[in-house]
Amino acid sequence: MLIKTDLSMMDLTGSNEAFKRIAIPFRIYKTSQVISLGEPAYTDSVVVEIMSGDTLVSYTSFTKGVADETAIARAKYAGTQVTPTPVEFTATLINSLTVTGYTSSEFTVYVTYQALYHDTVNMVDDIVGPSYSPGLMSSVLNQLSYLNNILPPIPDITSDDINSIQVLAEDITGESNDNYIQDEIHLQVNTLANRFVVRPANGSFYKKDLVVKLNDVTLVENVGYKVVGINLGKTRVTTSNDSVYDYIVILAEVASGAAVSITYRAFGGMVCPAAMNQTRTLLKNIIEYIKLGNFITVDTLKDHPLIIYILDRLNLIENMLNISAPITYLYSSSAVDSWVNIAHVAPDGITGLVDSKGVGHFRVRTEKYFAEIKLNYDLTSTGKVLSSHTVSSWATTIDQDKISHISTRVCPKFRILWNSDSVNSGLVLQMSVTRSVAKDIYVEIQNYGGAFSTWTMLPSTGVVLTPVTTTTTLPDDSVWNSAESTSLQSNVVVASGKGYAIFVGNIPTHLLDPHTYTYDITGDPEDNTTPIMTKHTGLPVASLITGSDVLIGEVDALVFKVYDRYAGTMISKVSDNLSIDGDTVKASAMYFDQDMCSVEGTLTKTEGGYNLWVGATTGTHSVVNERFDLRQIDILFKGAINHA
Amino acid sequence: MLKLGIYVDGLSVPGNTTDIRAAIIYDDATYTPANIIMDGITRYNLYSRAFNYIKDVDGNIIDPMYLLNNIDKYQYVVGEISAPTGSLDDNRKLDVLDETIPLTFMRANTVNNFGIL
Repeated sequence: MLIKTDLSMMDLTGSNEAFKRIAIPFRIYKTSQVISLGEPAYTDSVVVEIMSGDTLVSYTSFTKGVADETAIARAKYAGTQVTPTPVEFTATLINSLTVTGYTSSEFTVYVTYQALYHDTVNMVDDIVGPSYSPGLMSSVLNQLSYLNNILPPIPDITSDDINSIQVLAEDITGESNDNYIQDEIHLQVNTLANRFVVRPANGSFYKKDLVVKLNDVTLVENVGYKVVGINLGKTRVTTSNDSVYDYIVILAEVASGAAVSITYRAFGGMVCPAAMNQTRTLLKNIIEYIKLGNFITVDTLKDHPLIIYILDRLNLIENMLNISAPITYLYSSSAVDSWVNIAHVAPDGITGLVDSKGVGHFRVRTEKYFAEIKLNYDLTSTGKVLSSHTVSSWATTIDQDKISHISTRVCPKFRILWNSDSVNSGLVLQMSVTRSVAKDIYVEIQNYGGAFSTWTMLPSTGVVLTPVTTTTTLPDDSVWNSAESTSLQSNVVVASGKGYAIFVGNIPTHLLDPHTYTYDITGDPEDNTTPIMTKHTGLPVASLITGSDVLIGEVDALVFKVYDRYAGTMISKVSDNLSIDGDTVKASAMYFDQDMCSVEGTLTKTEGGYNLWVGATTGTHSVVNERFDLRQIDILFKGAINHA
Repeated sequence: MLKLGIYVDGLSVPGNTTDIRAAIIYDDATYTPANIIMDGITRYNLYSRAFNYIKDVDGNIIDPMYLLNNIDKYQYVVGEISAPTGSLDDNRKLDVLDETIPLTFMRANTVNNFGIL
């Protein structure tokens, strides 16, 4: 689209067609009525006409207003600014006319003239945006005047006996049969009580068709009634040679209850307040009907029996299936423990309380590890606050992965944090996953506790979880600070799933016997019939433990694997006896009762790591046959499932 | 790094072909291998090798777990662990148990410990 930048906003010639106003109607209803043109007009160009039949004919009973010296001065100045040749402005401009021809009946005159300023509403379509100018302002004011005078409805209808409201089309001809309203009853008129104004229910009306009756007797205009409130805007736009009024004043003496009826032709084109009220009432009735519950809406949906039933069933199914979307965290795993927050127990939304005892049920999946774990806590416990129970697990083992088990296995651990002086601040569940070879791993955790779980998984940020070193935030935004004596952390539980191999090798048990016990002679050295066994720790061997994975207090059993060279089978035996003394755990298992063969292990946690001793007591026949080899020792942690 | 430690008879001459008596897997970052000493005498010498030094007669690298389960198939020869020529059957499998041990043997007290018979 081309933008015309030389749009002239002022016509100094008085002959530019774009500045011509053609047949603007004005209603004349009084003697010497001044018509304000609202803008400067060339005096010589003013032509006034009236309608005669279907054509306009000249009308001369008018005088032109005084010259608009301000506008003339502006035009003269504008002429001096024309380049290259200035224009000398000599014409006369006026703002108004005075029509003098009114006698007893109203009529309409049509005024045509050349305007000084451009009328923006007449601009050609391909011009983009006028500059601010007096012409633009005049146009805007005309538009506002039209909106104010033509479009607004009558402010209010008080009649109670309006039987029906019709939304009528705007009729500027004054001839529409659709707008002809017959015998509209107005019972509120009571001139004795100063209630004498009638406002027709359908708004403005043409005067020519108005018939007012009192008790079916037609009243005479200006005797029984008169019309008031001429609507100038509507009168101006009508093509009918008639005036449009808004009100009827009853002059006759009308007592309360007398029926005043009016027959009229409405101007229409607007929605009356009564119509709006009726529409509102109708909508209200529909809404009430809907609210009875027979229909489903957004508001009634949650209360509908069918929806309640479906929601109950969904809750039941969710609880039975323990459905909850798993969350995947990115975790930086190494041989050293790194604690991160993964879930919390927030205060109850209603009571603000936190249960001091609770159960969590989680599914954990990462690398070659999957386990379903229950974590039980009891903040009031004087012993261990946290305990775990592995429902099922699948994890890497020596049997499946051979030596790579040592470098690829993961060992998840959990603990909880809370403030003992404000338990209702909530709990934080922390996780650490150790791995002999450092690697960023994805850990997927699913809260498997169902809809009634008090644990809430923390959202995954997609980046590596930040380790908690000394402080963290509890669910109610209070601070947990390890330096505070009231900020507590629970014991750590290990959820390594299946056996955690700590020894792999092949040592014949008869090699271990002399490290496990010796026979000493007591009493008479010549009598060797009563030797006594003196116990020793065993043979020190290497332990295959990543970082500080093994918490001595969490060891539940040792599993010994002994190879029977005669039967050709591997004997896997969970320890019969296990004792924990501080940082040392001792366990033994009788694996071949017939020949009194047992194997044992002692594991001690030290500052620098772990020390492991293995021992055996082997029966006579098995010794001479060198029948058994110790091949492997696994650890089972508390809460773990039985070793498979 | 994980390594294989093998124990051979302490009385044997280093460098000669030697049977493997026992073996362990260990992490050299956390464990220092040591000989087995009894009564002040080194009964078994420990030699450690990386996994890729465990080979069969054809020079193929053998899974260390396979070696642990069949240590008598292998020998320690001049610093190398390898399978001997001949049968690869586990010759440590006991076909017949020696049931001839008299009950009085246990009370003979001629040895300090059965384990070193």
